[in-house]
Amino acid sequence: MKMSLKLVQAAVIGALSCAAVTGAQAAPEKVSVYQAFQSIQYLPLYVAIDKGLFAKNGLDVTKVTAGSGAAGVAAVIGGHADFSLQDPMTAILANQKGASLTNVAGVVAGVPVWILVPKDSTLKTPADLAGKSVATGLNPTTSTYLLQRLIKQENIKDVNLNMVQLGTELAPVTAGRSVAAVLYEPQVDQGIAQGFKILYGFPKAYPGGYAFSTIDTLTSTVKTKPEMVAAFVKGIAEAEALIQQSPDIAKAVAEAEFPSLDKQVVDNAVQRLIDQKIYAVTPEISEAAFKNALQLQEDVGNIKSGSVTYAASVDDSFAKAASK
Amino acid sequence: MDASGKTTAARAAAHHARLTVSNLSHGFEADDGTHTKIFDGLNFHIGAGEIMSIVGRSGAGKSTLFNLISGLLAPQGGRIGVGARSDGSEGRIAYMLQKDLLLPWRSILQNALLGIELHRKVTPADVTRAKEMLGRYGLGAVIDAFPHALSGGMRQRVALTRTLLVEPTLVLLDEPFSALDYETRLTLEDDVMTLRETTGTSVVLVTHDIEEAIAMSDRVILLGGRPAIIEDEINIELTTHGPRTAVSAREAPEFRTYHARIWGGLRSNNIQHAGATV
Amino acid sequence: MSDAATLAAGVRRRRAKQKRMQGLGTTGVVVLIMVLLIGFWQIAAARGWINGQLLGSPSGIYKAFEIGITQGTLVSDTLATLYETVLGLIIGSGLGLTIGLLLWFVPRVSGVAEGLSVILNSIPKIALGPLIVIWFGSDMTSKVWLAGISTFAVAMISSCAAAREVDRDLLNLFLSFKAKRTMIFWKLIVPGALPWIFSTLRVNIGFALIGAVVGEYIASQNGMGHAVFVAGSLFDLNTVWLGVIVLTLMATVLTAIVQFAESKIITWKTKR
Repeated sequence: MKMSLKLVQAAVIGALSCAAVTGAQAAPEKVSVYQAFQSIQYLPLYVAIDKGLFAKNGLDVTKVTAGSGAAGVAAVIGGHADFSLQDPMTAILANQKGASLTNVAGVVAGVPVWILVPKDSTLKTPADLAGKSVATGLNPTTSTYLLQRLIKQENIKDVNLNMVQLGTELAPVTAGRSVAAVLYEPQVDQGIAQGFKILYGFPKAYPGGYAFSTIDTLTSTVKTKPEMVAAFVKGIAEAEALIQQSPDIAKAVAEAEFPSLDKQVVDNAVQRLIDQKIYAVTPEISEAAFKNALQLQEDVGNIKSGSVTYAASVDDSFAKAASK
Repeated sequence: MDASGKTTAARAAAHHARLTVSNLSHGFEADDGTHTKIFDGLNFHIGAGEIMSIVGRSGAGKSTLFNLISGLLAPQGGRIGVGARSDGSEGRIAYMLQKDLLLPWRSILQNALLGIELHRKVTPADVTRAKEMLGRYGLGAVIDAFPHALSGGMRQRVALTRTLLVEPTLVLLDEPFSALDYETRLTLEDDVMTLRETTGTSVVLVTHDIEEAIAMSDRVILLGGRPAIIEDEINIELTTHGPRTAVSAREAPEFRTYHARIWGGLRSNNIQHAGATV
Repeated sequence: MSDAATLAAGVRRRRAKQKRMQGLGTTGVVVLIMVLLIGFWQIAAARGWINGQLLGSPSGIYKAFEIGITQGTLVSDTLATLYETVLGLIIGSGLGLTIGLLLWFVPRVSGVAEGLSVILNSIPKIALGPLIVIWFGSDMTSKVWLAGISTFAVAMISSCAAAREVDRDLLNLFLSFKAKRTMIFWKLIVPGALPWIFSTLRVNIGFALIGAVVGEYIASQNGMGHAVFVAGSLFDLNTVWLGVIVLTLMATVLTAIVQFAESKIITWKTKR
């Protein structure tokens, strides 16, 4: 009797310990990420979620669409979000106003902006835009800043910027009110499918990379939850590698995330973004890429030259560790 | 009674009638579809310069009769004839309600001229006439003021001026003085009675107030029953100290007798015809 | 004037003076509270109790004001939004009120038209915004359209009701004087509707301003709403506060203008 009781006790203790151990492993950490938009440029994030790469690293990630970059950053500042995904410069602007955010992983490492014109357009180069109306996204958005800088650099005179809601830039061109549209994907491949041609592509102007969209978090989160941040960045890294290795998987995820878009357009857009090296190959944010993005904000006048440093804005340690 | 032995009513009938109600029939449809006749072959007439009051209990049909005479309602049967003037031109009925119906955004003078303005062009002669009449009623100093600045009694006098300026052959009054204080009411009763002498305008007064009816009128008819008929018709002859006024009429010896007769008639009305709504 | 009228006028003057003194006292208290709140806000920001840079502070707002004046953007943006609001208000309300009143001539159509207006009014203008911008472009025209649509429906519903609510007895009086329909319209319906028209205008100022600002949020190059939108995205909350203050002032001034016009035109109502 005594023997069996002791056996039972041992068994119970053993079972409980096992449960405790497996329980600690089984319960994934809840994490929220606020994305500025539901955008095909943000495919690495969707691949990480949909293909279970976050789950594999012990995270249960919820994705929320904030509606704008600023709203996402505000959510992180306010504590509603652990991470946000948008233009790194938005976090920098908040830092200048007293916030404390750090960029930890790159998602969009090139410039996904093209200028399109209709099939029968006679325009051949950006210089031909002089005196014309160009449809572009409502400020502040990087595509419009790039256009404004291009106009200044190439000294193109009297270009009228017809600012419309992001994603609707093709409409004024179709309606005949503007002669060209400045677009992100998937509007670029939507336009091409309708017969538009590319007048100018911004990707080729930045061979060193461009920190276009990154994951940022509170500096305090980096200090207090380094394992969580590391796990998140690892999930992103694995997704980015997967996209490069298996474009078909990437396209399948994209089609599922954008069910209302034509499947061929989605596939073409993903392929273009892979070919032009827009999707980050690794989450590392290089100083050169960061500087290119910073330069634009300084040229447009939003950030004073010399007020921002790479070291204070980017923590690349997690990305480096994840890439090993 | 005066020496000629005739009642004033009979004398009026001898003249050309200002208003003739002949064989008037009118009714309404209740919610359940039953047709109730308010009048079934009603007959009476008003003579020139005559003041006649119509009294009756609430619901007897006074308001309906008022609307029929004024032309706001078209009779379902019979006819209501407006007598011509002495020169042969068309007669005209104008009316006054308990509400003065003055337009708040118009001055007193403009309100007085409203009746004329609505059916023809206002001439300088009209303006002079209006100012004169307003002056006679003590409103000369306020002709450019707005109605909200005047008391109720003054506003009713403006309404009376408006009514009289269109030179009606018959003036129809629906309890026009009941919202006013007693003293103002007496004054206005005098104003109406003077019409008899000055312009010979006939007056039909619809009222609850028996005293007012007796004081002002040459004739009082009592409306009652369902359908309503003239239950009683009383010729008023009062012996007054001096000329007949609102006050002297009420002091005449015959006043109480007429009052008792009419009051009795109204009260018996209710017992005989239980179908009438109170 | 008679004695009674003089007495009444005297009483009114005394009461008006009483009210003015009370009003001064009430305004004084309100101003005092506002000053205290702003002062507390400034102190909180300066002492670091709240993040003055991120949330804005009175001194920061003043700096933004200075920058806006020297750069000229404050004035030009304010004028742009003001132009859009006022034009939209006048066109929208004007059309709505006129059509609503004229519909009195055709009562059967009036009922249908009013029903359609109610539906039009129920559509959230924010939802219509992107459509209007695509149709009319992102310059001022689209904002005027948005402001106009917002005000049109309200104006039309209001004036239809005003024309219908005419006093039955007054209408009968006019008919008894054999007045023609056009006479009744100009001499009774329109003057009687004036109080409704002014209260509608006052309400529509708010709707027009919202329409203009929403239009600027969706697509524009200038205007106070645009400035607020851009500043918000750049975390420049002092400019956001400045914009909010300017827009509030705009609405207040416009309302005061309408109330002044009302007091000059509607001279026949007493305020007891």
